[in-house]
Amino acid sequence: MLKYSLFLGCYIPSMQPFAEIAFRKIAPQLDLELKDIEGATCCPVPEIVRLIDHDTWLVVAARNLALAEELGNDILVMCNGCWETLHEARSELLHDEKLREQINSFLKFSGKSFKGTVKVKHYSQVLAEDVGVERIRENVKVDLSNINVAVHPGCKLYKCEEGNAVKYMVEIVEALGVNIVDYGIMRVCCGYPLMLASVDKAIHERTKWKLDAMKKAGAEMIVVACPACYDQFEKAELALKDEGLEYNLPVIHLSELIALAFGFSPKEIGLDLHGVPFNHIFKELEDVL
Amino acid sequence: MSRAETKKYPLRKEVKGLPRQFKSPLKNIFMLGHVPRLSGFLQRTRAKLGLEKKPPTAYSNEKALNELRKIISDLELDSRVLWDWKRKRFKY
Repeated sequence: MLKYSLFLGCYIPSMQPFAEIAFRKIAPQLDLELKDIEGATCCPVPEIVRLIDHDTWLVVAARNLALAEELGNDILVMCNGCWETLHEARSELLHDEKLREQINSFLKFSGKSFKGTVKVKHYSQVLAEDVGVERIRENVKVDLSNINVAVHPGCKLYKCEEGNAVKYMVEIVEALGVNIVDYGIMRVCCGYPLMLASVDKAIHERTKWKLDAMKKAGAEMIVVACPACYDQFEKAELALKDEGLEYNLPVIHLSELIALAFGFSPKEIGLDLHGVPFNHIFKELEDVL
Repeated sequence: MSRAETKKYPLRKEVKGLPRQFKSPLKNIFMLGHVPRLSGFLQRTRAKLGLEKKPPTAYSNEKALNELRKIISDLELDSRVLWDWKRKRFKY
């Protein structure tokens, strides 16, 4: 059994619980034991807290890392933003002893301290490196080869030092048997961080660009590994619908796609709760489920 | 800007007023320990899916929230962004 401390972040438990339940359902089949990190807070969000005050960002991240260290297992992160914060804060603290002492002094009152004893892994890394893509392939029960998907790893995964996280995500999706379409701009950001500067620019100059390319390539749904990207694609599709542009491209988390392929029903994992409905996909699934 | 940067660049302007888009998420971090609110509807949805209504994070853990607030106060993030704890809002 592979043991991990599960860091869900903010968006998944409070807005996208379908991604959480899907992962909790597939975990036992892959021999993953997940422990919740009790008392965790926002990672904190790098686009906001790190920009305002780097030290606060580091101390709050160090507190979350220290909580996981108390549990003794590596951290499995389900959000690209949380992964960026925890991974980069850990790296900064590990490589600068003076900074580590200074940051730990702000945690002393709580009896916690960052030691650097556990690793931070995005769930695509855990699934590919620790579980193994072959193991995932062996568990696939449902033939999804009729479904064309556009893969959107999210730009933060490209920051993975070893450069493997994106490759892993694509390999996992391939192993599920779906048909991946090449839309040419997979690397481009969904536009979520740009929303903080201009909603109009983010939706019309970034997300729409991606949606157009995905649709043109024949995609029927978008697979994401990040709740912020999920939120951005859904929000943009709903906003563009008001302008008369209908894409009908449902957005699905990698964990949900795995659960579907493993034979869990759409209802069981909450696919009916998504903003962009899966009706046409459900029809195709009815034949195989 | 970090404290070290403030010492290094004493003439650089400090953040006082926050960009409008930052206010709501930052307020939620101060008040809830997380960026989005966990609504009653979502709590019921979580239960229907077989999850705990509230995850065992700052959403349901007062001690964690208090620790986060102490960190925010000790590092003076609250005063730097002109947050009023009494009125639970920014001073501008």
